[in-house]
Amino acid sequence: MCGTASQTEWAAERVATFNEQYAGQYKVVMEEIPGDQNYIDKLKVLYSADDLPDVIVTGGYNLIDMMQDKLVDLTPYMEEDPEWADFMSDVGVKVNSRDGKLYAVPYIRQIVGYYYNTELFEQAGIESVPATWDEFFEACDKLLAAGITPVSMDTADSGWCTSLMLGAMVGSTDSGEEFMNTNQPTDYNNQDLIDAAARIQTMFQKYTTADAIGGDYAAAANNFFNEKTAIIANGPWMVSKFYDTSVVSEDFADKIAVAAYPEGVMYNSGQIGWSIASKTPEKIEASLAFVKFMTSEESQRLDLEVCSVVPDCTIADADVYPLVNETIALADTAEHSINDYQSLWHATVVDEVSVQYPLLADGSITPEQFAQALTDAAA
Amino acid sequence: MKPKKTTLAAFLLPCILLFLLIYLVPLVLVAVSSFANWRIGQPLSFAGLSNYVQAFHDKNVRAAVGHTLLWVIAQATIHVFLGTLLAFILAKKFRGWKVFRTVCMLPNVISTAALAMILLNVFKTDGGLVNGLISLLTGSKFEWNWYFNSSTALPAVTLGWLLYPGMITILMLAAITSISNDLLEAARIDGATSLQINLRVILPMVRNTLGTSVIVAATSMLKEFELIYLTTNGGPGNATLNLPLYIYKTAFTENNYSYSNAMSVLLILLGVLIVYAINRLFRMEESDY
Repeated sequence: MCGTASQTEWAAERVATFNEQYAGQYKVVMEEIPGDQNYIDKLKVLYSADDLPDVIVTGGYNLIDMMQDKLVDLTPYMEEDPEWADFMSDVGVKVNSRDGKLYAVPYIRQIVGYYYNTELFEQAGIESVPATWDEFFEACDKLLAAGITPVSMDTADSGWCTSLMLGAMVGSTDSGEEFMNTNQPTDYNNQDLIDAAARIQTMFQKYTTADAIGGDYAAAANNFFNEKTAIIANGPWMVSKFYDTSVVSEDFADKIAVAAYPEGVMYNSGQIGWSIASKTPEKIEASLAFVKFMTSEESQRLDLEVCSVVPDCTIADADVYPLVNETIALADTAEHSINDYQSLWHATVVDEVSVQYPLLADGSITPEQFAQALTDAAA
Repeated sequence: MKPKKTTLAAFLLPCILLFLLIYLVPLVLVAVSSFANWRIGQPLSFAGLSNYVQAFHDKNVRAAVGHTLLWVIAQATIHVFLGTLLAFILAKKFRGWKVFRTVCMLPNVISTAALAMILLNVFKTDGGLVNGLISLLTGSKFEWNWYFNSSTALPAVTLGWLLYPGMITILMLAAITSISNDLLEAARIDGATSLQINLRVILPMVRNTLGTSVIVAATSMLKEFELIYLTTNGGPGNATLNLPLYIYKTAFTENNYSYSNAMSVLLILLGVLIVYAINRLFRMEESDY
C-alpha cells in the first residue's frame, strides 16, 4: 500500500490496529516505498507481471483506468451492504467508478486552496485576498517591491504546487472548470490552458524562487516554511506542518491563512480511494474487511485529526486545526469546483508537465507549444 | 601441453549457461517483443515494423540518439585524451604522484547517487558552488539554473563525467609503466627528446590499451543513466535525454514495453557498430611489436 508522507503515521497506526483486531484471522503486511512516483512505477511493473498486491491505494493518482481489468468490481459488495454504500459520498463514488462499476472505495475529499503568510502580505501592503488573477499579480508585484518572493513553485515530480496553480487558472472560467473536471482529456489546445500557461510562464520568470525550476515539492514547501515565499498552493494535509516547530518558527501557524484561488476556484472533488486486486474469494473477503476498516468513519476521523486529511464522509465534531475547517468552508462556497490533474490527466501528461515547465520558464517554448506538448503526450 | 577439448568445454559450460540465461534469453525476448504491440492494460498483438517506424519519426529518439552519439564521441576523444595525458604525467612519478592518482580516481569510486548529489550542489541555482564563485569574482549576486536552462543543461550534465578520467588514467598508466626501461633508454641514447619518446615510442606501444580505453569510455556512454536521471531527468524538455533514459521512461512512465524494446534493439546495434568501428580504427587485432 501507499504510505504518502503526510499519512504515514495514520496508516501505520491503522494497520497495527487492524492486525490486532483481526489477530488469528487476517494479517496485513505493509510495504513502504519512498516517493509517490516510485510507488506508482512499482505498481505498474507489478501490474504487468500480474502480481499486484491485494489492496492498493494510490494517494490520488488515477490508476483505475490503466489497471481496471485487474481490479475487483466492488459494486456487488456495495449492494450486499447498503449501509456501507450509503456511507460513501456520491462524488466519491463517482470518481471511483467506471461504467457504473465501483473500482475503489473513497475515503478522502480532495480540497485544495492556497496558503499565504499574512505577515508578509502586510509588509507588502496587501490588504485583501486577491479576487481576480489580475489582482493576484498586482499582489505579487507588491510583494516583489517589498523584497519578498511571492510564490513557491516547483517543476520536478509533475510540479505539484505549480500544477495546482495552473489548474486553478484554467478552472477560472466555466469552460475551464469543465475541462478541469474532464477525465483523461486528450486535447489540451484550449484557450483556458494556453492563457494559464502564459501566466505560469510569467510566474516562473518573475514571481518565484531561483530553485523552483528543477526543484521538487519539498524545496517549494521549505521556501514557504522558511518564509522566503509568501504563497504556496497545497491542501490541508500541510496544516499540521505549520505547527511543527522542528520545521517552522514557533509563531509560524499564527501567520498563515488560507484562501480560495482568484475567481472563487477551489479544488473540491472526490479522490481515488482503496482498490482490491485479490484473485481468490478468500483473499477478496479479507481485503474487503481491511478496506472497510481503513475507510470506516473511525479511520477517516483519525486521518482528519492526525493528518488534516479531509474525509469523504461528513464528520461534524472532529478535533482539527481551524485552518482545516476554514479550507473546507472555502470549498463548500467555491464558485468553481475543480478536480486535480493527478487524478484526471493521463500519467504520461502528468509526467510531461515536469518536462515542459523548465522550457516554458526559460522561454524556449510558448504557452501554445506547452499545450501542444501535453496534447502529444496524451495521444 | 594442450588441454583436452572436453576439459575446455567443461570449464566454459557454466559461463555459457549463465550467458544464455541472463543475457541471451532476455535479449531474444527484447528483440521479439519489439515487433509487437505490448502496452500496459492492452492485449499483446503483432505489430510488424511499426515500432521501428515510430522510432524513426520520434523527435525524442532523434534527440536521444544525437545526445548519446555526442557523448560517445566526447568521451572517446576528450575524456580519453585527458586520461592519457594524466597517465603520461603520472608516469614521470613526480613527488606525490600516488596521492594525485588516488584523487583522480575518487569520482570513479564514490556512488553515482552521491556524485549526483554533489553535482546538484555544485550547480545549484541558489548557493551553488559555481554561482557562488561567479558571484565572488564579479561582486554581484549571480543566479543561473545550470541544469534546467536549456542553453546550459547539456554542458552541465556532460561535465558530470567528462572531466573525471580516473579509470582511463589507471589503465593507461599500467600500460605505460609496463614498457621496458631498456627501450626508453635506447631511445634516449639515440637522441630522442622526451616528447618524441612519448609520441613515437610509448604511444604506439600502448595502442591496444588506448583502443581498449576508448571502447570502455565510449560504451560507458551507451549505458549512462543514473547521473542524468538524478540531475536533470533528461530535461529541460529533451535537452539531456539519452537512449537509456528514454527507454526507461517509455517502459515505466508510458508503459509501452514493445516500443521501449525496439529502442533497446537500436541501442544494442549502435553499441556493436561503435565497438566494431573502434576496433577497426585501432587495429586491435594486430600487433606491431
